[in-house]
Amino acid sequence: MLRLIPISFLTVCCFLIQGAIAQSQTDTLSYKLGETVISLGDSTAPRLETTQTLTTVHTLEAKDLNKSNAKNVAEAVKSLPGVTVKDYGGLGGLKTVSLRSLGANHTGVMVDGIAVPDIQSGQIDLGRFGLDNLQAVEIHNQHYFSPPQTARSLAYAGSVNLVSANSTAPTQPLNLNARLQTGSFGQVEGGLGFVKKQGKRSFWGINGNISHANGEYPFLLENGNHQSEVNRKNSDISWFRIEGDYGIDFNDSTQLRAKIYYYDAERGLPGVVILYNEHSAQRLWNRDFFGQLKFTKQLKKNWSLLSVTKVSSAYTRYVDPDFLNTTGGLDDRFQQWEYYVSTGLSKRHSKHLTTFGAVDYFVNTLWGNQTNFPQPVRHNLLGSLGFIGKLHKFRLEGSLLSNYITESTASDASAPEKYRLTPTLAFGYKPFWGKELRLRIAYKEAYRLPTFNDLYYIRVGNTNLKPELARQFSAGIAYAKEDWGILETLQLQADAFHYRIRDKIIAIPTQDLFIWSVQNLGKVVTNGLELFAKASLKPIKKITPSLHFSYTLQNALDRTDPNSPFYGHQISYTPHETVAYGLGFEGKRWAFNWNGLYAGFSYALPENLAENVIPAWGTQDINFSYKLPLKQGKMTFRAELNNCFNQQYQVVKGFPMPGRNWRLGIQWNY
Amino acid sequence: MTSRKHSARLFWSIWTKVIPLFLFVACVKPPEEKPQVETTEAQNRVLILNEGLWGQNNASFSVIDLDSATVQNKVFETINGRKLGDVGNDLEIYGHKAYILVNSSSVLEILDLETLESLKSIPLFDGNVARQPRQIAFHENKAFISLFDGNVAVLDTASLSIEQYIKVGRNPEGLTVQNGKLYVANSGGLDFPNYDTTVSVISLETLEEIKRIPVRINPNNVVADDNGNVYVASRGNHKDITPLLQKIDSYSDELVSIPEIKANTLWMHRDTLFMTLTNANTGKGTIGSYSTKTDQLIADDLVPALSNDILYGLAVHPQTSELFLATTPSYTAIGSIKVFDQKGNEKLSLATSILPRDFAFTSSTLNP
Repeated sequence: MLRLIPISFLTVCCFLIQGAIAQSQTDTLSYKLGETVISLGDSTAPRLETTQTLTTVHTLEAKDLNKSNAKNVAEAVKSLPGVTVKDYGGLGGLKTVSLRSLGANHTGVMVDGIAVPDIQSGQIDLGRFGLDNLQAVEIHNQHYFSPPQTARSLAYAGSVNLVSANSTAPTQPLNLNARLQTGSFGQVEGGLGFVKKQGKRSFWGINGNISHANGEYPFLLENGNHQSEVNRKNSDISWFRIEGDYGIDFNDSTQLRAKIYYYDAERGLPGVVILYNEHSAQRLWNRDFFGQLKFTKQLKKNWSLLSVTKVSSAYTRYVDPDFLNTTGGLDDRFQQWEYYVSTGLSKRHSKHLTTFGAVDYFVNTLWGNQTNFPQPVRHNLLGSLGFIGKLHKFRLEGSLLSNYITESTASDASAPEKYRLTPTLAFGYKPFWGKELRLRIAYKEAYRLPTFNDLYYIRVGNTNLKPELARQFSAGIAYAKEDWGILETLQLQADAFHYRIRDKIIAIPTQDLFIWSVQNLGKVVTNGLELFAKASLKPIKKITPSLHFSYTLQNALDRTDPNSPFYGHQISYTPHETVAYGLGFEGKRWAFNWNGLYAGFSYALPENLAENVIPAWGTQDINFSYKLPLKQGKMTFRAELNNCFNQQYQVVKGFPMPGRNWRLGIQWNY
Repeated sequence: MTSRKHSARLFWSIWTKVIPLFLFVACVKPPEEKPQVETTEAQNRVLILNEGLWGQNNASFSVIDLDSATVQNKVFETINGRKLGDVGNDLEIYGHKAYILVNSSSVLEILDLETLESLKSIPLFDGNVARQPRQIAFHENKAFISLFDGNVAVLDTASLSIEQYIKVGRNPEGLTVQNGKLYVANSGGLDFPNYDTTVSVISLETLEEIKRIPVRINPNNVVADDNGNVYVASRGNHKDITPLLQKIDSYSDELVSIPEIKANTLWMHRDTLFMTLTNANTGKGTIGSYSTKTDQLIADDLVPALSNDILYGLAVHPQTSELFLATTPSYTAIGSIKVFDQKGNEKLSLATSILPRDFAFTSSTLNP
């Protein structure tokens, strides 16, 4: 099976080359997209209506992304309820997303419904994913059914799905755009993108960005009674990213989508701010690649088929020349690979019942240059079965996911094989006919497998680790309404959740004082509440106002050991409260947006003491854009001011965030 | 149209009034910092260095007044208006000054022993690269500071300036003076798993390294007795090679054979060497005592009542011979100082700060 993967990729490359050669062919102006093909889980599906899912789903569409000042996916999703972004600050700082306080390891990241892996740390840096080439960002809490779908898409306690702009066929024969941006901290970024129809049934596109910033920004360094303004140093970053998409609709019921992605970055790591020692010379290089193929087909008798093939790799090199060893510093290199295939089927038995299932296989490898690095390999076999039943005002859906993994290493003992079966069940009720009011309740179990770092990290790793289990209960109410008084659209959601984590993977010191070990020791119980409102108003004097508001309250308490000093304490880096809001006005050519974010205090360490408090903070961002129609296409000018009131804050202790900063951009679209 | 205008006004008032309300009525309030009391200038004091957690800049300094059995925490910050820094590593008293090494901040803080005010703060850098001070020892108005970059710094305790650096082995840790020589344990800890296996001997006359004595892998703690010997505790490789206590005769600078003891932290008190041991069966940390006269273990569990907390530091009061233990339930939680009499009965327990590790007693030095 594995041998087939490179072959299918060669095929894609051939397609791309063919596309390039055949470019001169005349394009048909009228292009009809196969209407019947609805491959849910990607963007061709009508964007999820709030009231249609039985779990909480949030979608930021391109127009929502434009309203925010976010530069990347991590910054964009901060405005959504239940989302906590752990941000190490600055342009190159790691940004991971945790949903409902489960931690970033439980958050699946997908591109067009297909998982992006990280076997080493299990945490994906969502600061590396830009917004230029996205149609939407979706947050799925608990399960999200869109059959046929991969088994793996059911494996996460929550996920972030990035929908590529070019995952759907363009409406015009040729779309071109060129972008240029500059801003504080010496930021310069340029981008080029195009998507072109090729013949009647296919299209292809390429999108690339290149960026550089010295990344230095001033921050207020507090030390007892003393305050001084210091510059964040060694935080430069240079990167480029290129994405290629190809799509073909063989006929109305058969689709193929291919995507390749490459990201290359070099950055300085300013590190944690250490008093009296601000020097850091650490550097990090990343090279991430993936190529994915997604084939969907409507078969006879209401069967649908999905087939996915993906290869991903990630290379990291970390250098610390100041590390005081004899070789004159650290130079750690890692290379991981994943080969992934999935086949899913679904059948619509009647308007009342749809059933679906999938089988996924993927293998992960990790290579490291350190002495005695175990070079682990993990094979994963997943199977899923599920159903969606609708009757009268009721909807019931559920699934079972089986997960088998086995590992081998080059040297030391490897982790024993594991098998887990996890259920999902959800029930929904719409009390009023024709009204978009939904009551819903859902339960899901999800495992987060130990990462290769947890299992094999030098001295610390523990091959006997069990997967960490999250049991998720949620109940909510959702309401949607269109054309109501002054409101064009209204979306309201309120959800309560109760999450329990068992066998939480945590690092603790062993009896031997100098060695830490990773153990399945933690228990965390979270109770939370999310409120979400989003509305757009009808134009008032040709100006369209819009707004969104979200509020999250979560008590995520350590329940590990009643004798421990932090039993019953709020876990670290989880604010009790977060509030996000935005207000926008859009005229015919211009738009103005104001976005605010407030994060309540949190703790840097597990003990809830005053000295461990990370103070609450709030930021206000504004942006203004103006569209100028040209003979050829249109030009958009954009100005942004971030953190208007120059709030000095930290999300992660010792990693100061930038104060007030600006960005100017110009974009030409054709 | 008017109704629409009305709704617009309503919308606006909701936006400007209700939503800001949400922001100010944050339901959950953070805990408040307890005010720290000014230190009294008690004579019978124990100074405690709390290591803190790496990257948190929360190394701190506590003072126990033994007469009133009270503790004052964050003393350095209270008195000096700034923080001690990141990762406290060693605390010693010499003359009328206290010396504190802050590892990750790479600073030597010198305090006046009575007022606890900082007299001088000496950055220890090679260019802009931190040298990372580890431990300090004294001899005839000179302080010797082991630096993780493979040097020992020589400081004049009168002028408080660094006079020179002496090259030693890899990642030196503990150091002690015996018989006119300085003994430095070269751990090589940052070359894991390829640790160093030597103790450097430096002549205090020439201030040059004169010998390297091979010992068990990863030597860390060294202490001197009154009979011209140096005891070295090696940590082993944390795998198949166990910790080991070794004895160096300073006249021959050779190892002397003694019973096999898996000692970690050492504290010399008159003729007795106190040490933390790891019980091979239970894995629990215990306190042992060892006679430097007979070279025999006297006891291997002096404080059976000790809880399962992590044992992070050990000292013996020079006059009362009481045991002072630094313990913590977790590396990320507030630790405490527990005082036991020679029979192993707990006399006092005081919470300090994160990871208490080192002790210095003022009564003995101020009133000799």
